[in-house]
Amino acid sequence: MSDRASAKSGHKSRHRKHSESNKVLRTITFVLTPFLVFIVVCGVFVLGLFKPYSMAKPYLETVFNPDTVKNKDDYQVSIYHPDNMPLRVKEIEDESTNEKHTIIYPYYGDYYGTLTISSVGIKDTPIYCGTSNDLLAKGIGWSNSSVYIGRVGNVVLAGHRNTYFAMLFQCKQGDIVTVDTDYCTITYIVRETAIFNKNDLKYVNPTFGKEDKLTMYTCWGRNRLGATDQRFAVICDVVERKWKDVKIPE
Amino acid sequence: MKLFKKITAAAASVVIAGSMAISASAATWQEAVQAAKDAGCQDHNVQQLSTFLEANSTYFTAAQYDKMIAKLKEISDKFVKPAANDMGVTDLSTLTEAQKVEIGKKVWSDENRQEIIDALVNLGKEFNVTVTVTKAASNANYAGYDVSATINGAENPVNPPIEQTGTESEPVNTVAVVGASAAILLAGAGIVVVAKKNKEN
Repeated sequence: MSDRASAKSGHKSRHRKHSESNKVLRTITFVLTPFLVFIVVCGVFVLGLFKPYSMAKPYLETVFNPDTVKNKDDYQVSIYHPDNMPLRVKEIEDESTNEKHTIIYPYYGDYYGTLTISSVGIKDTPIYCGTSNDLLAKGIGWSNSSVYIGRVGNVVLAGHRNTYFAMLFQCKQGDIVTVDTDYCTITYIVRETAIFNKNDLKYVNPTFGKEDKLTMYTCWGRNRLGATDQRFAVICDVVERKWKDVKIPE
Repeated sequence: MKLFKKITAAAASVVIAGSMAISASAATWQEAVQAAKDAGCQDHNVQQLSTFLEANSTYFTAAQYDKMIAKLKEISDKFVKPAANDMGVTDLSTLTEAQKVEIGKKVWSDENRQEIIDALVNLGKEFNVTVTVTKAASNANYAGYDVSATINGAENPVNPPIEQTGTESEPVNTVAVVGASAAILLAGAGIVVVAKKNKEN
């Protein structure tokens, strides 16, 4: 009898312990599961938002980051070279006229000149030497895979489509383009516009003196901002090349 | 008078021969650019070299240009010529851009590419030009490498011929993607474990 009683009480205590652990587990489950589900939902949400975010980012930057659209006339100290670099001035022969002129070679990151296409509202827009992201945020970039402005060959300029080259798409055949630097002013006329793939170097390749032109390009993306595989190019022929008298500082 | 003419002619020939000898060993930046063309470099790379050397032409001596030309020829003979010959091209200056791309991307191994990079970096060191070649951070870079040459403290990054001109030029934040994916996996596993334990009890 006493054995049965003790067995019964043992069973009861085991049952109580078991139900207590069940209670703890159930409590943990109730507390933990919503958190875990919340994390899953958040994770899916974050992953799902990546593409829309990358598409919306350029618009957000345009609206909320005024740095990308201001400082048109800034002459900032370059991060690419010390301030005390010597002026790189050289006498060169203009291959189109065989006349001697003076050219000032800009250092990478330096302000190089201005671009004006009055017909589409681009006026005295700064051109920088190089096409790194930081330079394209400040203006138009001259590609160092092309000839220096003033030299006979293919001069290539690149710009962002949401800022400095936003109006480039409106260029049409016959528009006048002016590039002004410290040593020369060149007037071009738009010959054609083209859309090409980012891996197609046809329009930006050098001509090695065989053709004298200016190529300006920006992203082409079916009415949306952001990185695309297509580029929109405006190809121009030289109308006039005016060299300036360069005064070399002592 | 006849003798004078003979002496003048002899003197002139000596001067011409002398100047030819000098020009044979005293190269210019234009000759270095031509050597890059002849070596089978891609057109935009030739232009990049031309742009760099034109602005810095006085930094290098004629002997250094000679050295550049010799190195370009050496690299070309070792890596470009055999590949071009296999394509049936003997004159490297007649290689098309497509053929050059094929040699660079399909024929050369990673070791070949590294050897060429090392040769150019070491050549730069000899002229006190710090050349850095790193795998391109962005897949938008046509060449696959980011190249920069620092000369007298002035940095000259070589930009790809076609840039990303959309405003979204930053690569996707992989840390965030990995973090979100890991969170989903861990939380999912947690739910499964808790559900299983719950079922057992």
